[in-house]
Amino acid sequence: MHTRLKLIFVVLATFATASLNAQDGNSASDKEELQRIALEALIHVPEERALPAVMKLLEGDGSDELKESALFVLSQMDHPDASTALLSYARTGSGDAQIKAIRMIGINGDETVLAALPEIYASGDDDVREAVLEAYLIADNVDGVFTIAMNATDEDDYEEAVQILAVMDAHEQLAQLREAKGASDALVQAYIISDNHTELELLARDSSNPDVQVEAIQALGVVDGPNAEVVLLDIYKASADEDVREAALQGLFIGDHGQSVLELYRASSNAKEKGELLEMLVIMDSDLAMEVIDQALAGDQ
Amino acid sequence: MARLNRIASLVLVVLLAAAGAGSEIRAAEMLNLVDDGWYTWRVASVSEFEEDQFYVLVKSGEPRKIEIVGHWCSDRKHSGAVDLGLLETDVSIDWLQQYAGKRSDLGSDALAAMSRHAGGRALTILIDIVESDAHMDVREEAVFSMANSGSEAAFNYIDRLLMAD
Repeated sequence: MHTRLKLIFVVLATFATASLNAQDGNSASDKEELQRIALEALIHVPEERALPAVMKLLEGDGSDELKESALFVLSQMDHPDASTALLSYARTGSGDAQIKAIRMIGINGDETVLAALPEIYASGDDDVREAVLEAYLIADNVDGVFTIAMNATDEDDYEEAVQILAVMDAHEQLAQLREAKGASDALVQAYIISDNHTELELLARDSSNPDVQVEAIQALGVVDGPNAEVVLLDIYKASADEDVREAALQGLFIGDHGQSVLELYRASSNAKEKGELLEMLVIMDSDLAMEVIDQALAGDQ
Repeated sequence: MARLNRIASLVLVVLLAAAGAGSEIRAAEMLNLVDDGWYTWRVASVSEFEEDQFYVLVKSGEPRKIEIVGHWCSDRKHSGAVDLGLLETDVSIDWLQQYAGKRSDLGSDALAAMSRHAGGRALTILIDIVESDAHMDVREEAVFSMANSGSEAAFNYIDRLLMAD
């Protein structure tokens, strides 16, 4: 080590020993902060010079945070050795370092390295698989996520991939998944995330899977697209299934569609149903409720 | 009055240039950039380029901005700038040192300009800032200036900083 630098460290160490614990902490954190700064500064150094320094740090005893920064610096390099190193960490690293390396592959965006992610996904645990999906998300690689979703045999894996597709607004791929794999709660959640009214309406009208249909109807109320009120009203009128009707009513309630609830109230000849609809209007704090009550008191209804 | 000062500066430059001793202004001279306008000078560079050129804008008697003409910096030329010619690195460093490390754009400019000088003195000053300045952002600027300088010695220092244990 450089003599001058050594001397500085000795002085710093002496000072730290004689100081309060808090000062020790500051000194240690300053040192690490300087290391982080030095690492980030390497982005401005020619890659062939910077790469060995980054690799040396990755192989050393530095903190996890420092190694994360080192992986980030690697991800910023347009050098085949940097991509190879990232891939190596993604394949054989352990714990956080492996997860970070996988994400950094997404940041790096090198197609040849991204091509190795399916293999890492297939052999990885839950955290690794999640990191692979995130890497695809960061790299905006819809095809990678779609392939995982199509090939998923585990429900959780499928759900996670579908959610990432939703975040990526991959409407076409989500529609293909519905056709290939059928309706599912995962798709309903995806359509909520991607604000896809059209697909939600299709699922809400699809009675092939009653549980999913109920989920979709409720979601339609939450998302409240331009046709939501009409669709929910249609479903309520057309269905004989109690759960479906209840979900449609909840959708109207969530979407604050008092006028439709009033329409159902007026059209109903079932006293129990009328009572429930009126109760809903009251809960919605709608002026329409007062209108109905006034009419009832006047003997109109 | 300002015109007289400007003429005086120009005369000083001409006299210094005429004084010979190569064409460099000696370390004993201190730059005195008081008149408003652009000034420029060159120094031996630490990088692969033989020389770097600096432009300094003075307004209301104070330097406001330093631009570096090198392989990675601004290539703007300011016509009408007072050309101080090739300076001895110490002269340039002495002037820049007044501002290097100040928490301002000018301070950052000065650090960057300082890092471009050939010889070990500029690096020693930058290392001192990295290791002892009270403000971490200034220390960070100094490290980044070193990284940008293209200097092997600066890189070696960054490498040591990185591996400090």
